[in-house]
Amino acid sequence: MGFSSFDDYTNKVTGLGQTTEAQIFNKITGAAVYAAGRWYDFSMLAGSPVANAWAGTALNWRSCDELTGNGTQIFGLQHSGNVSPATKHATIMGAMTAATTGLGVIQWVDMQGYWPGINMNLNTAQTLIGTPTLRYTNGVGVRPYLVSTVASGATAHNFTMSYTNQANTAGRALGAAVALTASAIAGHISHSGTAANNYGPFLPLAGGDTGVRNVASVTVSAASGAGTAALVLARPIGPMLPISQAFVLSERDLFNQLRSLPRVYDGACLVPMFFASAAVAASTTFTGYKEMAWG
Amino acid sequence: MRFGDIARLNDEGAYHIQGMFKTGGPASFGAARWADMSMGAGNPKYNAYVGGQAAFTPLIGSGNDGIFTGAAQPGKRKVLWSWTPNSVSVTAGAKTYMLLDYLGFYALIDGDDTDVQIMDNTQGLTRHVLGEGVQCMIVCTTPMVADAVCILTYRNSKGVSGRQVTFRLLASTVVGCMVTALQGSTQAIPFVPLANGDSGIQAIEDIRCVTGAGGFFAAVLVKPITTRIQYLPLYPVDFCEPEKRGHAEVLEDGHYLNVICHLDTNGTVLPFQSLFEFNWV
Repeated sequence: MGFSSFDDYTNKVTGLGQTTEAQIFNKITGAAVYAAGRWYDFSMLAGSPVANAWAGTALNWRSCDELTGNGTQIFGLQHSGNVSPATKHATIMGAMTAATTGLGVIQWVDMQGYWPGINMNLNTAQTLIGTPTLRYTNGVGVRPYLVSTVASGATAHNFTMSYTNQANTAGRALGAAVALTASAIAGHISHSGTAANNYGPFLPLAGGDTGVRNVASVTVSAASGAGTAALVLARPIGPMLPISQAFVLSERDLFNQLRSLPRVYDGACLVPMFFASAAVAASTTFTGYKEMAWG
Repeated sequence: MRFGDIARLNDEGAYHIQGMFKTGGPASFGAARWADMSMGAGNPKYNAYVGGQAAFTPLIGSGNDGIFTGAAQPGKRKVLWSWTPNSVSVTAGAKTYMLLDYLGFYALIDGDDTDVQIMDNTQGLTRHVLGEGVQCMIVCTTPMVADAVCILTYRNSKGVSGRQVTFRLLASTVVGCMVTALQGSTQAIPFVPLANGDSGIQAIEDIRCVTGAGGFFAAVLVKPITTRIQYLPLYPVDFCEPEKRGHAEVLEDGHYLNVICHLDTNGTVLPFQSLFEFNWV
């Protein structure tokens, strides 16, 4: 499925209307400044779509999709529902900022779900409950990231976890020693940054692994003093989109540029992640769009 | 490896996305000079060129020692899919960046010593072992006070010893500044020029500063991977290797990646960021 030629694409989009048209997002950062060199999860920002409040029971898996969100907030970008047996593909995307400090890079992901309520003030293993249902067979291509949902405390702490890879091998450990950021603000993907053992946007997998099916437990090396976090499983959708100047729209033609026409699965919960190139001022607005078509 | 193979790797989950962000490092080292961003604070880790004096010390990438390309993939070959560098500084004009595989270095070469300094090659290259395409860059690690003539003797990639070139060392007070120029010139170049007919360095045999340059420097053996030019600050160079060049650069196992940069005008590239996508096949 998909598109066999330009003519086929034109017919399906123009003749048959198999397009989402431009789906707009508008997100406003909170009261805290973003630090340069760190990644942030935009799903929990106010604006449109609505903010993801990380609903769910602490340490229990919560699936996310397009039409129901996390079951409480429908926070993913809408893309016209399921189209199977056709396949849907992103065709173009764009974004801009309304602030001179809002420079960075956007990476769209399909959020499969998350384990909320991870206690960042606890230095013993926390068992994660539930088996994820993923849109990607065996979790191939799925990557984990840890996002601070309530600001963590000031004590330095590292992060480890035990996961099951795409080959159904349990007990896998991360591929590097990972340091989290002390006093990480809400929304910060707290293993990303400029410190020596920061990695981002995703947690580094072990050698040989191409995906994550499940996570059994997570451990924070020291009680940070405060905070909660969510461990997310997500799949990047398409290339990154740099934002260079305020009020200048950056666009990426996904039809002609590689990786071309990235697949958007039925039910995909599309949310943007953001890499801050500069210290992003509080209450900075980001606006953009993503367009998809199916055939 | 065909184009379709590379394009498919992302679907198969064989990808790694990596950010790089340097908050500190060589700055204000003069117009038209090159800088070694491995000697900068931030991510990946600062590279201090710690090793035995004049002894070759191999560099092996691991975690954030060098740009992280994902955990090692036994039996697979990693390739560079895209590299998008960006200087957020507005203090300098056009910038040129080169992504290098840092193979190893000879540390603490004495700029005051005008005798022949013999290099210890007990350890040799662990990647690109014949030296084909391998270049040498000279990096200031302790301020060097004067321009000086320097003679470098090396074994080339064909295994021929005693190959010799004369070049100029440029004075610099900035740690991490690269200090090579052609003999009789003050225009900086990134790599020591090779002797006629040579296409790479297997090992450095000795170095002699004909006149005192002062300070200390490291002679670093590198394999260039790819280049980017940024015309305007803040505008990232959005570049996908297979799309623009028709192929993806293959990285040898153990690669230790980092970046050197050239500024048209005096200033800084800092803060400097890059985003990378790697695949393995």
